[in-house]
Amino acid sequence: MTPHIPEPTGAEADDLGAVVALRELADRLEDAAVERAMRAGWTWSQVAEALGVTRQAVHKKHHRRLEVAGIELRRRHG
Amino acid sequence: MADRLDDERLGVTLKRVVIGAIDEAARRGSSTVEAEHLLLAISAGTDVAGTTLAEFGLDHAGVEAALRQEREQALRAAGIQPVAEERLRATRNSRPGWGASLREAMRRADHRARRDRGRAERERLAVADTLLGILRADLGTVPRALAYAGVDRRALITRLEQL
Repeated sequence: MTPHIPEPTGAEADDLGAVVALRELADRLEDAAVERAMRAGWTWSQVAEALGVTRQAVHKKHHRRLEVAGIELRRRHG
Repeated sequence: MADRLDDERLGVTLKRVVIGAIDEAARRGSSTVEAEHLLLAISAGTDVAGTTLAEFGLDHAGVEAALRQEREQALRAAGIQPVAEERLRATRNSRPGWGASLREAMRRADHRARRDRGRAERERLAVADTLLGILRADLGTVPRALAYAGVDRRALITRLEQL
């Protein structure tokens, strides 16, 4: 018996597609928003607090990228 | 499959589209290279795969439009309006990694299907075979985008298999 192949744009596929699109959007928005905040002089601690994650987590994820971007990162008070 | 993505194992033309796919992913701010990025790269080519796509309305601009429409529809299903591109602009640094859909497309590209042909012929059709690997996915971003764009994916597959 051939397994049933669901439609790629059916109701369930739409919900799953929405998850993919939201993840992609959230990732891109995070990259852009963190960069904007750091350019505006926010500290890592402030960005972390606003995102509800640890300073270590946000630093690890974005530090290298922003350093390459030539953003002057505030080191005092993290 | 990791070994299919090893530089050593890819022919010259295939290597060019894989590099194109990496560029497409990076340009779009994606952290992974997915099947849709490979489709974009193939659609930008003028070889038999690119021209066949164009015949189905899928030149590079056509693929871009189809993918954009898919994302907009998907977000709308979750009640989200599209976010302006300038709010999503960010500096990228690292090279994107291989995504699951790209690996699956490479696995489904049956490069042995034309083993009775000569080496030059196989090389000529390597990108078309990779395109077949992308199109054989029944679910996910690419089939959704093609469905919204009104492209007959089955007909496109048949056409490529007959090359």
